[in-house]
Amino acid sequence: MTITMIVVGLMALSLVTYVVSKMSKGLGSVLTILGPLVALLFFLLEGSGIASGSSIGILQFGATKLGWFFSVTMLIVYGCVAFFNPYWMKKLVHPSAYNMLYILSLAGTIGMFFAVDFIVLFIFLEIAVFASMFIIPFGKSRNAAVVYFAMSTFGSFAFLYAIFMMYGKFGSFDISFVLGQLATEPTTAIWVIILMGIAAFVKLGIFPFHIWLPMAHGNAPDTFSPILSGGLVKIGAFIAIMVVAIAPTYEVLKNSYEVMGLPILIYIVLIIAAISMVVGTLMAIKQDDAKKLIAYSSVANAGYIIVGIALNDQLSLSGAMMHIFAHAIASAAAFLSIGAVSYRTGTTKISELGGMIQKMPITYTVYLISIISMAGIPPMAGFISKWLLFQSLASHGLMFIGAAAFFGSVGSFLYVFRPLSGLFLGQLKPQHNHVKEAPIFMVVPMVILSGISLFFGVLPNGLLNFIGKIQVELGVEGITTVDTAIMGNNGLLDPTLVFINFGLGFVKAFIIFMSLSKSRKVGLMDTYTAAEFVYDPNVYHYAKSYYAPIERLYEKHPDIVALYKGLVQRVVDLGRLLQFIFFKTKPGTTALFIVLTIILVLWGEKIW
Amino acid sequence: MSQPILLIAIPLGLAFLSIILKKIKVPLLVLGLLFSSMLVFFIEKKSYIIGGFKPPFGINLVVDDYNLYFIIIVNVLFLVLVLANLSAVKPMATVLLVASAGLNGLLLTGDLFNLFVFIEIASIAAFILLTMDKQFLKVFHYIIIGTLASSLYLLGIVILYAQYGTLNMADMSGLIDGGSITPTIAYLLIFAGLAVEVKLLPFNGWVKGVLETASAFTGPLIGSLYAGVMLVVFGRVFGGVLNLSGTMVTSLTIIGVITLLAGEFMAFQSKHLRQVWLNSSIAQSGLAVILFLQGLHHVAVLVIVANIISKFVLYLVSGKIAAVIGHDKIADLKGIFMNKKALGIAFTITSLSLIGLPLFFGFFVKINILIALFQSSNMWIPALVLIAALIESAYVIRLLVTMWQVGEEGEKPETIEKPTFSLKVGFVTCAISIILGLMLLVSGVYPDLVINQSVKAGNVLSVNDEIQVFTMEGGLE
Repeated sequence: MTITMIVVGLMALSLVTYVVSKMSKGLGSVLTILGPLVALLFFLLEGSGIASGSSIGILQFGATKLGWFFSVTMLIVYGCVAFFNPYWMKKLVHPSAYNMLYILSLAGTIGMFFAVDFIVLFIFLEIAVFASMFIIPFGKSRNAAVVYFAMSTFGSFAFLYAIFMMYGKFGSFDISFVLGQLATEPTTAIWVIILMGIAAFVKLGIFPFHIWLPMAHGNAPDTFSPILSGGLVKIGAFIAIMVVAIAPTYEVLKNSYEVMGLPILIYIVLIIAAISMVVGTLMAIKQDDAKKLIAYSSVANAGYIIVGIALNDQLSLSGAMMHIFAHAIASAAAFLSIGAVSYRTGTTKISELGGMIQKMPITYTVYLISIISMAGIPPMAGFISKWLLFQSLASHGLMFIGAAAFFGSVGSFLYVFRPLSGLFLGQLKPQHNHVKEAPIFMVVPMVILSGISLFFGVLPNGLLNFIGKIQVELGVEGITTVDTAIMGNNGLLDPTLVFINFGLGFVKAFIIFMSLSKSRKVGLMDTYTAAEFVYDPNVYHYAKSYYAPIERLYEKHPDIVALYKGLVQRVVDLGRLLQFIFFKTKPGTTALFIVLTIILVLWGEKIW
Repeated sequence: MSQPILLIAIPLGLAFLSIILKKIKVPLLVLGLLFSSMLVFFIEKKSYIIGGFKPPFGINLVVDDYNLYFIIIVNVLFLVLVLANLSAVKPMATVLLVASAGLNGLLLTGDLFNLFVFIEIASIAAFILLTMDKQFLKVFHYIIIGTLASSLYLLGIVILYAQYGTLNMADMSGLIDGGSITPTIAYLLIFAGLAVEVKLLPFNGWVKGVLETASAFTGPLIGSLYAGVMLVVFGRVFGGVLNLSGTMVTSLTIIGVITLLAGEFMAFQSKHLRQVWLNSSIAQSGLAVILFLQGLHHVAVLVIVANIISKFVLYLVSGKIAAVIGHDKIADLKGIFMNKKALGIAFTITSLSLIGLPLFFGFFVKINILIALFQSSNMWIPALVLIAALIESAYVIRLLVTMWQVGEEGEKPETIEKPTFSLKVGFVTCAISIILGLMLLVSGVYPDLVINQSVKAGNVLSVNDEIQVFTMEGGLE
């Protein structure tokens, strides 16, 4: 199997899926599971040295370790999430179209990661974008799709303009050739870096382009939010790596003004990333909708990824790539667990839920593991990546960025605890008494994703060694590991040892817990407050305004959405004004305009 | 071997005949159009002398790579359009034959004055046809502006004739290239005359009134076929005959750019389906004009081809929707395609092609526009073209999402009720839309034939050996 065959095969499969889904929705949704899994199998069997295959017209692919890494991450997410699709067939308005677009967006992303020329990359990028865009309105919001597409197109067009600027200078679309030539044209190079950087920011959802994430992720069908957050935003990370690591950005910027030992442009990027971490964290803390909450946390995590990529050294880049992987897996699992709750209860609002741990314990565990990973607590994969990033920040002496990253990490405890406590713990609502654990085929992929988070948190060496190879491919010193330990700048980290210690602690605590006398289990309502029995279970639930004291600290924050709304309103106003001026029902006005224009142009001829 | 003059003479002859033989005027119309659409496949590329006088003394018709494909597209689509609206065209059969003659004449003629005559014939036919929509005041507005435009054009060629003593396009082109004086005022008058027809801002006051209420018949006719033909004429005159230079190009390009951006701005705020398309047509005309003025004829041709086909489908479907529902307010068209998926898919493909998404023909148009603009070292125009395309993407997607989805904002998918009503649109309309949509899809995957043809067409106007185009087969050529 070659890459070309896989990509073309997936494109063909998307059409097949549509036809099959028309006949049987269930069978079509099974195809959406098989497609990514079979492709994943091929990638894993062939390894990163997978043959690229012969080109079809302009469709030419080249195998890279970077592309392989991203593709496998994407396929794991797509493959696991697809298990949810059969359960959603009844809920969706256009199930056949959903199945087709699901596979098409996968084909788009895989094709993009292996493209050797910019136009092919752009084609597949756009395919991934528009396929996913058409899925979003199947969920709760129609506007979200438009906002997502407009934002995304803004990024795509910035990218396209950069591609053509390079084409104008070097006469080629070949990615490695063109990016290699950039150092010879510093002025163009800086524009290209800025424009491609904007594209990466938009796709990743970095401040101030982050507004589409909560809208799109929060409102997409529950089966597609994990794809958006775990999969598609990582396209932005891929572009960012392309800008910083493949293009000779540091060489281009070497003569520029320096701040803290870094080129000013890089430092600005770091500041923007830091703002993303802070804004994402603060906004996530105040969300009542669990899906929007995770979406905002993706904004914060995108900040970490950008910091790692922008610093582009041994530790930071490996940290960024580890974070891409860890966050993809963890956020997909978190979205899936919320999706599973939504499947059983029909809502994702924290204030409308509670005590789900009693009814859905496995889902609860999955959520717990994924948020531990997202918050960067050992022994999960998210800890490894954050450790690497903090190492790099510390050795660069970037205290302000480090402070923001630290703020983001502490804040993440707050926001991940909100659904944990409000949605899974606390008082079970009486209307959810009948709720059961999610069906087995929904539980399996969630458990697999949690297992991956845990496994690479305990034994990250295999993955890190591969990331080291990618770094070498990108011309950066590779990350080194010794046995089970990771080498940092100021010491080493042995996650396995950490895990064993944690584990022993747990075992000790467990033994103590077991040896003590058994506690008596009582019903949730078997309690009293203020010396009174309360019979309404809702009164015991305190998930509403969960962080009110913290939220009050920044409740009057400026809203960036207003800025975009204002911008759209200006476009509308200008359009109305133009229409008002030029489309009068009086022909005399038009005649006047014609004469005036002729005079104006003639006048111009005279002057110049 | 067939004579292209028959493309003009036969419809005109049948038009007269149809006045006498009122009973069979619809069969005559179909027969005439069928004949034209067959004939176009047999005409040879060369210059045809009419009336025995050699050009530049006599009038000639020209068939070359530039207009041949447009002749085919326009004649075939004209026939298709009439067949799709057979019940509606009965009172207008005679006028339609005249319109067909006029459009063919516009495409074929090699003479500037002859062009004026055909502009008049085509416009008069258009005025009468537009009265079908019962918007008499707005048509009257169009008549005044249209007549003013053709007068300005006539004035322009009068000045040129006075200066060069010829009206033949090829002859004029040679004389202008050799001449030392640039008749600026004549150029401008001709530009103004044609700008009214190709809907450049601020010359296009008539467009909104006429097209926003256009039916499924007049919409495609005026918004797609007439608009396309007029752009072809504009290209012929400004790309092939008059060679602009210096500030004139800049000034007129600015008008084009303003048209492009203003069109998209106006389309963005439009709340009615046909209003969106008419504003988008304005923008596309601006784009084609910019490209012609910048000497990038081959991509301008691509823009025109893509625009004729996509606007044909969009106006056709929108007109039908308006006829069935009674209005075309976008907010009230929620989920209209849900029970008419085939038509919806054709409409979607066409609009996605319009905004230039990959897998559809429009993508290659967009890429080739950018290649051509960057090759001629333009930096600002591509940026503005992309901004226009961004606005266009936003409103087209908003439209598509509305037309495919039901349910209020924030409503959960499982609680949304599927609409039960069905959009009653005839089989013919669906079939036409789907076939044209498939054409855009096929040429979106394999665009090489169309693109190579457009390069040939561009080379007719001005030979440029350094053209690079992006195709599926060989990448850059």
